[in-house]
Amino acid sequence: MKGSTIWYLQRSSAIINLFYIVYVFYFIYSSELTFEAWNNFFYSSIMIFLTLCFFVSVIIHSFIGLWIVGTDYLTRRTIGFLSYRISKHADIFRSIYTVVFSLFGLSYLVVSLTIIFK
Amino acid sequence: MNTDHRPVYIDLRKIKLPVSALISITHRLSGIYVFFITLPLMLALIYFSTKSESSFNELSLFLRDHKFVLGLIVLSFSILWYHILSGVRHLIMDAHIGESLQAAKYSAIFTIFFWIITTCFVFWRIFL
Repeated sequence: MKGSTIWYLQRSSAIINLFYIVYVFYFIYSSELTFEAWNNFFYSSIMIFLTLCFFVSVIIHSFIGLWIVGTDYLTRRTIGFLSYRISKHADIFRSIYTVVFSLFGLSYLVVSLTIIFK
Repeated sequence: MNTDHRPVYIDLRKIKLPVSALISITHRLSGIYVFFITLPLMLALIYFSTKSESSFNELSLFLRDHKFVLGLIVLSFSILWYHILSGVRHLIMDAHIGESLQAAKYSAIFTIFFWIITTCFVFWRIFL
C-alpha cells in the first residue's frame, strides 16, 4: 500500500471514530439512561450499522498507529540506544509486537460482532 | 550498521522536550493505552449493559459501590479524551492551519490545559 493511502486511511478513520464517539456520548449525556432507552438506541438498525463501521474503523486506525509506533521505536537503532546486544534482536521483537496487537485487534472485532449480532 | 561513531546523547532525563514534541509522544502513548485498556473496557461496558435488564442494573449497582473501578473507567475515558483532543490538533495542523512554531506551541499548551480542566471537571461531577 502506498504511504499516502495509509496516511489518508489513518486520518479518515480518525474522523469516523470521532463522530461516532461524540454521537454516542451525546446520547448518553442527553438522555435518562435506562436499560430500555439504551438498548433501543444501541440496537436500532442505524446504530448497528454505525457501530459496525466504528469497530472496523477503530481496527484500521489502531493497526496503522501501533504499526507506526513499532517501526519507529522497536528498531535496531532505537533499541541500540539502550543496549547493543538486545538491539540485534529488534526485528524479532517488532514481529512479536505486531502479532500480539493484531491478535488483540482481531479479538476486539470478534467480541464486537458477537455483541452486535447477539 | 551505522559507521558514524560520534557519541549520541540520549539521556532521556536530561533532554528537554518542547511542548509540541511532548504532545506528540503523549498522543502515541495515550493511543497505546486506549487500544490495550480503554477499548476492552468499552467492549465490556457495552456487553454487560446490553445483555439484559438485570445485567444492566447489576452493572450500575456494581459501579456505584466500587468507586475504584468507576475511577479506572473514568480515567481510561479521560485518556481517550486526551487522545481525541491531541488528535484533533494534529488533524487541524494536517490542514495547514497553525503550523508556525509559535502557533504550534500555543495550541499544544491550550490542548493540555483544556484537557486538564475538562478532566478535573468530569471527576468533580462524578465523585464529589
